[in-house]
Amino acid sequence: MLKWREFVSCILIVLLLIGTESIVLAKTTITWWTLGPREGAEEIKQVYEKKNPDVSVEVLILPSWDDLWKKLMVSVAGGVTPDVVRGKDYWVVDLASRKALLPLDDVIEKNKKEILGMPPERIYTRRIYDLYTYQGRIYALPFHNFWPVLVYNENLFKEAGLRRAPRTFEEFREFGIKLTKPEKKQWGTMLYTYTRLEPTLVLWSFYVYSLQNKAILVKVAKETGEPTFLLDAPESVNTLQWIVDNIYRYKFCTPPEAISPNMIENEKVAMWITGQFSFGGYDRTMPPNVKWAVAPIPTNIEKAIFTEGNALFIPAGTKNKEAAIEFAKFASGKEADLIWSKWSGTMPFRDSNWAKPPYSNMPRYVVSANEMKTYKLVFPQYFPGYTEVMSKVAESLQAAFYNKMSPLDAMKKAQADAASMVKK
Amino acid sequence: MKNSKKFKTTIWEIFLYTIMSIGALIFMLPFLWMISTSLKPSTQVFIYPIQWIPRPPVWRNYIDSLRSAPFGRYYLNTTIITALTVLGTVISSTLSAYGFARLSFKGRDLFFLLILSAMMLPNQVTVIPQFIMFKLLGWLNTFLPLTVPSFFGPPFFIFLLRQYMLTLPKELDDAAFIDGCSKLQVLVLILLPLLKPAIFTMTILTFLGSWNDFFGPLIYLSDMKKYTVTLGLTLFRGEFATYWNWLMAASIVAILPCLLIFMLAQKYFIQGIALTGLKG
Amino acid sequence: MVIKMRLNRTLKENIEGYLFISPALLGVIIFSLGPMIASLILSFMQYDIVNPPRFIGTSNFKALLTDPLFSKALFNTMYYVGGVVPLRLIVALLAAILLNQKIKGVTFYRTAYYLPSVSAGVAISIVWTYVLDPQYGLINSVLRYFGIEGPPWLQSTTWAMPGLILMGTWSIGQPMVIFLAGLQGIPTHLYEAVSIDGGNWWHKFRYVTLPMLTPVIFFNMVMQTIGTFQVFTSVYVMTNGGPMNSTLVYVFYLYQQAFQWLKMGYGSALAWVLFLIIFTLTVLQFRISSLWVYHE
Repeated sequence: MLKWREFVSCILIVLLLIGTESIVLAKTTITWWTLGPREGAEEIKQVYEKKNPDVSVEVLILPSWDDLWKKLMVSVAGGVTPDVVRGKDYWVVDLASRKALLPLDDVIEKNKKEILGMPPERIYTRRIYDLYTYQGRIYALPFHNFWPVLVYNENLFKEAGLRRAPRTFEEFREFGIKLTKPEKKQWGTMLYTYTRLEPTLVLWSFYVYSLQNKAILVKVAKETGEPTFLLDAPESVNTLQWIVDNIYRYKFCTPPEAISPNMIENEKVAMWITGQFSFGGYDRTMPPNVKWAVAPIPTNIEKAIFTEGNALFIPAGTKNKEAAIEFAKFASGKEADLIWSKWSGTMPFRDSNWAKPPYSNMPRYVVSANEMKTYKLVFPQYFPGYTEVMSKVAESLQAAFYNKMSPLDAMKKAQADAASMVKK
Repeated sequence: MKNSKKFKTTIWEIFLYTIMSIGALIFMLPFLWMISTSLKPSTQVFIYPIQWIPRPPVWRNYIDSLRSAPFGRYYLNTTIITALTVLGTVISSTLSAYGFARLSFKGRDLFFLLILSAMMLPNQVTVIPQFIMFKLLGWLNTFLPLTVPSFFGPPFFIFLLRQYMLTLPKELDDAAFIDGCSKLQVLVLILLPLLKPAIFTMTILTFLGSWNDFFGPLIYLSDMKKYTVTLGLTLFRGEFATYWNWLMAASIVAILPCLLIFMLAQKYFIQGIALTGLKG
Repeated sequence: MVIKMRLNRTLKENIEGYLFISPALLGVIIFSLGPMIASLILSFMQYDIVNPPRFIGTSNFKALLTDPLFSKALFNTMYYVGGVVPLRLIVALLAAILLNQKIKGVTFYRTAYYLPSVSAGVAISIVWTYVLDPQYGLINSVLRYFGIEGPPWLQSTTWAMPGLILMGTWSIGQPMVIFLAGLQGIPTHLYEAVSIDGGNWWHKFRYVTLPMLTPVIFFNMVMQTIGTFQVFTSVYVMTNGGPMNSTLVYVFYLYQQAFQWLKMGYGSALAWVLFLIIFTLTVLQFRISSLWVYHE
C-alpha cells in the first residue's frame, strides 16, 4: 500500500517537474535561411543561442542563391515563410516593392548605436542602408559586402619585367599587352564573366570600369523608387569601346572563344578584377607555385569602387517578429561580421573590425581597406525588377563582348530595353 | 576453310572489344574524374590539363568529408525515402500497367493518355499549387510528399510496364483463365515471373531517381536533420568556393548504393543470347 | 437473359479494369490534375508569387505571340530535341545490343555504360566543360590530331547547341537499360528458329530483335520526346542560355520568367503552350504506332 502511494507521488512529482521545465524553457524557434559555409552559420547560431538561451535558431543552409530564391518563393506562395533570410542585396528592393518584407526603420532608429556602431562606422556602413531603401523605408540589414580589387600573378609580372600592378587605364593596357604571350596561350587579363546573363555581368565585367569614367547606369528617384536609365551616355559607350578594344584591337583581354577552364589557376591570365569573396577559394585551390597578390583597381578620370553583397531581411509573414529582429540585429552586428569573415575568408564589412589581425596586417586585406578609404564609394542603385532589367542589359553587353554588336549599338539597345521594361 | 572462319571471328571479336572499351572509357570519364578529384589535395583540383593520378593520393578526403556533416543521418533519411518510393512504384505501376495492357474497359486509352499527360507540364508551374496542396494536408517538412505519390502509379513506369506486358503472349493468360484464375492471380502467378527484367529495370531507375532527387527535398524539407544525401552534398558548396575534393569523395560514397543495386540486378538480367555467334 | 449476362460481363470487366488502374487514376487526380488545372487558371492571371493573382484574360497568350524570345526558345528546343532524341535512341539501342551479348566481362561493360546515370550531375557538367574546351578539350584535341581546327563549342553561338546535343546524346543510361530489359524479354526460341532456317545475325536482328523490340522502342521514343522537350539542367548549369540566347531552351526561359522575374502567370502560359505541343506530338506518335509497333 505504501509502495503504491510512493510510486504515484513519484510519478506526479516527475510530471510536475517536466511540466514546469517546459514552461520555463519555452523556447522561441526562429528559422534562418542562408548559404554556406556551414561552420560560419553554425557558429553565429551558437554564439547567439548562448547569449539568448530562450531562443533556438534553426539554420537552413541552401546550396545556391537560385535555390534559396526558388524555395523562398514557393514558401511565400504557400504562406510558410522563414523568419530571417540572408539574400542578395538587390533582392531587397524588389521584394519590398511587392510588400513581401518587414520594414526595419524603427528598429534601426531605436538601435542606432548598436546597429550603426559606436563610434558610427566611419567608412561606408552608414550609407549602406541606401541599398535596402525603397520609397524612404529600409527593409534589410547588411550581412556581408565586398568590392572590386585587382588580383595579379606575381610570377607572370616578373617574367614580363613588371614590378608593380597598373594604376591607370593606360598602364593597364600597356602592362596587359606586355603580359600577353600567344605562344603560351597566356593573356594579360580576362573579364569577370562572359556568360552569366545576370546583374553580375553588368557590375563586374562592365560597371567596374565605367565607374572610372564617371559613368552612371541608373538614377533612382527617392520617393517613388522609379529608375531612370543613362546606359547610352557617352561615358558608358566609351568604356564599352575601351573594353572591346582591349579584346579585339589590343588583344590582351581574352576573347570569349579563347576561354578555357581554370585559366587563373593555370597561369593563363596575368591580372583580373574580382572581389574579396575569391580569397578563400584561392587559398584552397591555387596551386602552390602560383603567387597571387592584390592591388587597387586601375582608374581613369575617377577613382571609384562599388560595393555589392548580401543582406538580412525578414519576410512580412513571419510569426516571430521580435525574435527575428533581435537575431537579425546580432547577425548583422560586429561579432557576427568577424565570425563570418573568418569562415568565408572574406573581409569584414564593418571597418571597426579592420583594426584586428589578419585584416590589419595581411596585404590583401590592407590593400582592400586602403582602397575603400581612398577611392570614391558609389552604391549601385536598386529598383523593382532590377534583376530582370540588368539581365537584359547583360545580353547587350555580351553581344559587344562577342563582337556581334558595336558598343554604341549595344548600349543603345540596352537603354531601349531597360526603358521599355520599366514602363510596363 | 575452318581457319579463315576462326580468323574472321577473332578479328571481329577484337574489333568489338575495342569499340566497346573505347565507348566504356568515354562513358566512364566523369566517374573517373570524380575518383581522381576525390583523392586530390585541394590545390591540385584545378590544374589543367587534368592530372588524372593525384600525387600523393589523399585518402583522408573520404573520412574528412563524411565527418564534416551528419552524413550517417542523411543516408538513413535517403534510404527510407528511396525504399518507400521503390516499393510504392513497383506495386502501383504493376497493377495499373496490367489494367492498361490486358484489360479492356471504357475509356481505357483516354485515361492512359490522361495519366501520361501529367508528365507533359514542366514542374516549374505545378510546384506552387502542389506545395499549397501539401501544406493543406500538413505534409510539409516531412518525407510524405516525396514518397506517397509513388504509391499512386508514376506515369513513366506504368507506361514502361504496359509496353513490356504487351509483348507477352496472351495465350498464357487465357490458359490460366480457363483453369479458373482471377485476373489478379494471372498477374501475380503467370505474368510476374516473365516481367522480371522490366521490374528490375524499374527498380534500378526508381532507386536512382529517388536517391538523386534534388528538387523535391529542396522544396519540401526545411529541417537540416531531414536532409537527404543529395542535399547534404551541397553543403560542400560555399557561396563562392566549393570543396571539390571533399564533394567528390562524398559523392562517390553516395553513388555506391546505386551502383550496388545495378550490379545486383544484373544477376536477374540473364547473360544474353548470342546474336553474333561470339563465344563467351 | 443472354443479353443481361453479356452486359453484366462488360460491367464486371469495366469494374475490374478501373480497380486495377485505380492507384494511377487516383494519383493523377490528387497529385497532378489539381496543380495542372491551377496552372492553367494562372496562365490567365498576372501572378508575382508574392501577392495574390490578378485576372488579366488572354494578355499572357497575346504577349507570347509578340515575344521574340518565345520563338527563339521554341526553335532552340526543337533543334535540341531533333538532334538528341534520334541520336540518343540509336546509340542506346546499339549499346544495349552490344551489352546483351555473351562476352567476357559483360557486367563490367554494362556498369561502365551505366555510370553516367549515377555520376554526380556537377561532375558531368565539369567534365563536359573540359571535353568541349576549345583549347585543350578532348574533342578538339582529337580533331587537331586529324588536322581539323575544332570550333569554340560552348563559347560560340553556332556551336554551343551542337555541343549540348553531343552531351545530351551521351546520356544513354536510362533508355539503354530499358532496351536491355526489352532484349531480355525476347524468347530465345525465336532466334533458334531463325538459325534452323539458315539465317545469320542480320536475319536475327531484322526479323526477331527489331520487331519484338518495337513496343520498347516506342516507349523510349515517346518518353524521350516528352522529357527532352523539357531539357533544363544542362543549360542552366553550363551555358545559362547563352551565348546570346543560342542555347535558350524553352523550360529555361520559362523558369526565368516564372521564378527569377516573378511572372508566374506568363510562365504558366508558356508551360501550357509547351504542353499542347508535347501532347499533340504524343497523340500523333500513338496514332502512327499501330502501323509499326508489334504487340500480342
